[in-house]
Amino acid sequence: MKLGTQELGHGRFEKHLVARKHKKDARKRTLLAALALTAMVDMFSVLVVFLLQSFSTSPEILVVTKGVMLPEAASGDVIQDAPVLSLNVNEVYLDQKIIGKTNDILLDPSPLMNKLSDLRDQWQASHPDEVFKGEISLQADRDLPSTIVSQFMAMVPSQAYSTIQLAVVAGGGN
Amino acid sequence: MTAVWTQIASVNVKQVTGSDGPVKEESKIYEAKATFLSSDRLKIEINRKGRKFKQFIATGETERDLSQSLKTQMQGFFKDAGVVNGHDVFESAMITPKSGVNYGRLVTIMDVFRDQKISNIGVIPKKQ
Repeated sequence: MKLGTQELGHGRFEKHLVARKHKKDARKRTLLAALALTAMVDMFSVLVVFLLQSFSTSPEILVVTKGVMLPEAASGDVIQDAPVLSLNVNEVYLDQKIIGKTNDILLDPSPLMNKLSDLRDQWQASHPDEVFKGEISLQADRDLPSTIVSQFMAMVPSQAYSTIQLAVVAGGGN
Repeated sequence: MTAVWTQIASVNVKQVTGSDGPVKEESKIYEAKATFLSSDRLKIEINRKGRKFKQFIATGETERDLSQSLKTQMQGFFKDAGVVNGHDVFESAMITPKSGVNYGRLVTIMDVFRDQKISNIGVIPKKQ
């Protein structure tokens, strides 16, 4: 029997078949590895599509500052994109960056006012044809004295932030 | 790292300075003023065209009780005054906090006003 250019005897042909099977098996193993990679890529693709979809349906992601337990409310609105002012018993944060101690800011609000003014100027520079909306999100710990929160709420309109979105946990309240 | 996802919403408050207040509409004749007397007692004063019209006290040991008491009183007022939708007749609701009252209770009161469709809610700043 002739296989390609080689002349094969009976025994040799069987050996050839065995060798070919081994080669095939080896090829199969290589193929299997390639298939696993493809499946992984597929899985990641599905994951990316899922994450993109779920992020696009939720309007804004708000990171709650450590040490802040938000109050509950039943009649909440959807959160709009705005700078986030966070208050807890000890510290005040603006967009996750510490501004100072709560009591110090109450005595001298200028560090907070300067930062708010900078944010407003930045927004205005990037939106030259639009009127500044004056929205700000306020995250305050539910156990903070209401008088402290009211003083912060009174401060921000001086920098043209007159619409305050109080961050709450949805679904609670009455 | 552990991440916990909680549905977060917002309660909008309009804080105004000087003459920046909302433009008054003819139909909006009522204003509500809520003042915390203590953490479990809230005085509600309803003014009609700038004059005192009705006053009542809401009480509740817990946030839920206080909110329920206020809701019942407000619904009673709406029924007596023939008001269907708070948004049509209420100009605003202003809340005065008090030291010893936590922020969670303040939000509970705002939540009741919002539930009654009163859209302009403000907080009067008060020092401790």
